[in-house]
Amino acid sequence: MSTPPLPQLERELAAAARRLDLAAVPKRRRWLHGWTLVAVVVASSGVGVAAAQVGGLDPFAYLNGGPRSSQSKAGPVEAIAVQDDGREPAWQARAYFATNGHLCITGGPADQRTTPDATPAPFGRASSGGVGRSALPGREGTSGGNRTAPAPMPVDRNEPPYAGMTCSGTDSVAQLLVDPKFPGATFSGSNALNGHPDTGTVMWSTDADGKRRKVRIATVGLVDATRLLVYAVAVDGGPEPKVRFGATGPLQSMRASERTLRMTVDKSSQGLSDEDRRTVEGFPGEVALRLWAGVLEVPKGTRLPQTMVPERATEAEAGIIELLPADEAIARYDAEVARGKERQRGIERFPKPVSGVTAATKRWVSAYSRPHAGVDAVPERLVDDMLRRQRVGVADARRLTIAGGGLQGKPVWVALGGYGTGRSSGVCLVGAPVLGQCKIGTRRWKQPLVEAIVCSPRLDPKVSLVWGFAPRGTIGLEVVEPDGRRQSLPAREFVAIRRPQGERIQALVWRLSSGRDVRVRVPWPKAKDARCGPGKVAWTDLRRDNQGASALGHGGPWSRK
Amino acid sequence: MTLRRRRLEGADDAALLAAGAEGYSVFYGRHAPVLLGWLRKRTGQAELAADVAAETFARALEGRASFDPARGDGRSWLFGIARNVLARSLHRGRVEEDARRRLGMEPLQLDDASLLAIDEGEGPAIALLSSLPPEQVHAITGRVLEDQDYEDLAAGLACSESVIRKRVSRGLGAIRDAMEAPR
Repeated sequence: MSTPPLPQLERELAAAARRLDLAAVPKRRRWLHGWTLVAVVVASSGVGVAAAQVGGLDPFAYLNGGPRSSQSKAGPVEAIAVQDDGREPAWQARAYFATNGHLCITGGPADQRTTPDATPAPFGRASSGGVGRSALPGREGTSGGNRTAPAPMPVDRNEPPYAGMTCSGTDSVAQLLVDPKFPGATFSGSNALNGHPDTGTVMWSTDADGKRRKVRIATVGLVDATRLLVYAVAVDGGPEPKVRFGATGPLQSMRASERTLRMTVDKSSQGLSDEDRRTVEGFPGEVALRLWAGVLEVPKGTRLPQTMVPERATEAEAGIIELLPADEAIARYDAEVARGKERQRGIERFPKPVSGVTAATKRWVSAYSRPHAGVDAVPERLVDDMLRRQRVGVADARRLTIAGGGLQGKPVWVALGGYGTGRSSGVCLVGAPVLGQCKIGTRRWKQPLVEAIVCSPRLDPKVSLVWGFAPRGTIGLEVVEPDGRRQSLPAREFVAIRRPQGERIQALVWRLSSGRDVRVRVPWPKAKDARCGPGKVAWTDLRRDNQGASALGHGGPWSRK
Repeated sequence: MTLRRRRLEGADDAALLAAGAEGYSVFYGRHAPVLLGWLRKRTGQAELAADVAAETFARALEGRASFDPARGDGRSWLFGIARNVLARSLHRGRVEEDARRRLGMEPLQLDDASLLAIDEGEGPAIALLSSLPPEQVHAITGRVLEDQDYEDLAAGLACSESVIRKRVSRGLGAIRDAMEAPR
């Protein structure tokens, strides 16, 4: 067999296949793997409910030794047994750091093979079960039936135990636990020990192909529960966490673990906004965390906290965990906002600019984004640097500015040179990086969007050359004639395209009749194409400018070399 | 070449798709030249062909578990994905790259040699196509290159769809055998 084309693609595919295969290693009776749930986490700084990921809520985990997570335990596990009133410990809370660095807290039976407080479901009990069955004892399907007087049922040791898991990234945990704005805050979770499962809850999971899929699962929130396991991680030496139902219930104590977990705070500034960087700078580099847990009797008539979309805390007395149903938590939060409290935004880290932006590109960006860079001197260096690999001689270079759209006013360097080797000899245009502004939420940053070399080997000297830049992969574009007529240019109208090593933005050149003053609309990378987050492709008007300094693209004399 | 690799090269597409990374490499090597040639023909540009092919193989990798050999061979399945990727890319005005992003694949870096290989890659397949019997050439041209429905092709030739399918299958099989034969 002959050598396959595009060996890089073959390598990339093989690597991706290996990653997929590794990710798909079958695990025994894995269930709910990777589903993202949102669990109620009540911070002591108020009724705050923080985001939580349930990496894996495995009702059959008792067969394998404990609640399982897609993030395996990487460090020491700190556990507290509760309800050891003369009997064997029945329930247990654990805290540990997962391999991905997330802090996870779990609550479940100390004896993973059983559910100590299992309560029967109204319509018979679940059998020993298999993959895909309800996560909790009781019937599957939608809720209903007699919830007020469940029939007694012996504990079935094959029933999946109640187990919950809450994980959060260390940035979030650090902000919650060591940020002076949240004194005495805890990272906490809870799950009911008995009652009826909230079956029929609609959740979303993400398939391997990225499609979101609606699924029905049983959540950790239970109906008619009378006992609640509450667990929290707090900074060692801080206020003792206490818990209460609602804002006025009696404070109840929890037990503390004997040992502490040490958490290293990521104080690097990588991917942080200036504001977040300043926030992180104020954090300690390392902090000792202690696990607290307790079993609470749920007062009659009290509604348990339900799963909900998380929001950051409102202020409350330090060290107090308030257990509120979602609607009450939201109402409390809204009231705080109405009183002028600002919404607390979590620390967000954004990844480095993706590969494909070469080190050389970064140098160019650094050099040419300076406002006082010499127009004459800079392009020469740029072009020399950029064209060395392409063996293109430089004939001219010019600094242009994008005329409209989301990148209006951004500079781009365009150079013209003769391409001397290969079968593509002709005229080349060289585009230097454009600093595009990416935006996600309130965070903005710049990164180069354009780096391209365009050659027009079959350039007809009798036509004008209009050029522009568009994301690599762009197929169609539209030219707007002076009279407003729009002309769509299919892909085949584009002339030869070349790319310097590593760049991933494609440049386009197309030809029009000489002398026309046209506007060209090119799908421009706004955010998505720069891999800096979600965004829509914007249209950028490219106009001719006789001054030669405000257009990205009309050939004029260059096209008639 | 390892013994396993050699064994994989003799396996069918279903086995390759189930054989992990190495199997997928063989699957890629088996189908990439023809797919690239077809895409080169359809897009008119080697670079676009490469990008569409990359997205196609990425999607095939993601969806390999869904491949059902009872519904057709691997090449038909792959070309079906490629047609969808190409159609959606043309509709959107840019080559899709969702699957590649999901898989964390790096963007392709295309040099002269790669582009030349794609440009020239269409030659042997087209040459082989012309060496086939006329009815197979007609069927493959209509179905594979022009993306016509089997129903339309069958109506044009006043024969059944299954006849057209057979001609396409036999023709593609002959091209594949010829391209994979030791030179």
